[in-house]
Parts: sequence; C-alpha cells; structure tokens
Amino acid sequence: MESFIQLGLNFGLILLLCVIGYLFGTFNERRHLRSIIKREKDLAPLLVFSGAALPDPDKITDSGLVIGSVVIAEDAFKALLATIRNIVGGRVGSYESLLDRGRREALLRLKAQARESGASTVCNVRFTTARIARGFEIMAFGTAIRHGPANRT
Amino acid sequence: MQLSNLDHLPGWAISEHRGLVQGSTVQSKHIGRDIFAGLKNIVGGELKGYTELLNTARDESLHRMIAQAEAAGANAVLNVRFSTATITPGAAEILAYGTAVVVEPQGA
Repeated sequence: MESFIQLGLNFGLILLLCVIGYLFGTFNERRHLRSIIKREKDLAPLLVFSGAALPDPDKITDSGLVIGSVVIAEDAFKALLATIRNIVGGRVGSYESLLDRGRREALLRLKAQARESGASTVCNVRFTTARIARGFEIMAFGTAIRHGPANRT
Repeated sequence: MQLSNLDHLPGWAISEHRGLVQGSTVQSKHIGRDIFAGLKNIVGGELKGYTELLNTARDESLHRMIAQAEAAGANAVLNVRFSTATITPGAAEILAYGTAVVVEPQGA
C-alpha cells in the first residue's frame, strides 16, 4: 500500500513537471521565435554564404573569424515527448524545433558580431552541434569580410 | 595574428607554411551552476551560464592556438576549425585548430 502511494506521488511529480514544462516551454519558445524573426529581418542585409567563394574579391579590405554560439536546453515536456517517440521511432518533432531555434540563434549572434566589426558579408559559414551536460551547444563560425570603396590594387 | 576559416587570406599572399597548430581546454562548471541548469531544464530555453562558460573556454582555446602559432613564427592561422566533445558527464573539451602560415601583403 505504502509503495503504491509512493508510486502515485512519483508519477504525480513527473506529471506536474511536464505540465510546468509544457506551459513555460511553449511560452518561452514562442517568445524566442518572435525575437528571432525580428532580429532576422533586422540583420537580413548582411549576406551569409556557406561557400568559400568571395564576392568582389578586389574590393576586400579586411577579414577575420566570427563566432556565434548558444547552449539551449529542452523542457520536461519535450523530453517526455521524445521518450515516447523513441519507443515507436520516427521524427522527433519536439527536438527539431529546439535545434532549429538554436541554430538560428547562433547564426544571428554570428551576424551581430560581424556587423559590429563593420563587415558586409560572412563567408564559409560552418555549424557544429554537440550534446553537453544538460543541453545542446550549437555554434556557427565563418569569415567576416569588409569591403572598402577603393580598389586596393 | 590574423584568423580565418578560409584557406587563404584575401589581399595577402602566403609565403611560408608553419604546420598545424591547435589549442584545447577541458572545462567543467561548478555545482551551483549545474543545479540551476537542472531547474532550467524543466522549463527549457537557453542556458546562459553554459553559453558564457563555453565562450570563455573557446577564447582560451583560441589563445593557446595563437600562442602556438606565434611560437612557430607565423602571423596568421588559416582554415580554423572547432570541435566540442563531452568528456565526462560534467566536462567538455573545446578544441580549436588550424594551419599556421606566414602571409605578406599582396603586391609588396
């Protein structure tokens, strides 16, 4: 009987955490996405390429490494969904949206750093994702390029 | 020291190759941060403490890589790459590596 109550309490606690996770997690995700969309519009004029080809190579005055990174964690509800999903297999939608958010955030930070240094373009952008203790570290790095008005040669 | 993840430096010519250079740090966080992150894990979202921690560790890795390049007499590191790996449940290794070269302004 006692262990039955214990089990009920444990289950109730997990359920409570999931409900809290769902409410706050969904709220946070929506707020984060709104902020991402706003900043993406803001930084849209800054061009980003995943290739190494440089636009207007003879007008380049300066270049340097830029990095954007973020550590993002799932909420208890997303974790539960993923656990259930793992039983039957297939796409884990709850983590897809999490990683998408993280990657866009990392790219935005990279772009913000590039703009701060006066760059107009970022070339050769690469992403890395690593599972660290309680979340995912997502990182974007590339070479920021500054174009000058004068031809240097 | 000029850094780039391209294989050349626009406006500069590579005159000498000084080999592979690397810098790495293994970083762990204190238990208070870990407990806070555990709580934050319920509601999800960015773990700002960890972001800062890894940024500091990455700067340190880059520093060590640059020190190695300087010791090799280089003035630029090209093709810079990063990798992050969890070593133990509480610690992560951040590695930065690249090719040390000597560059000269083009047309000089």
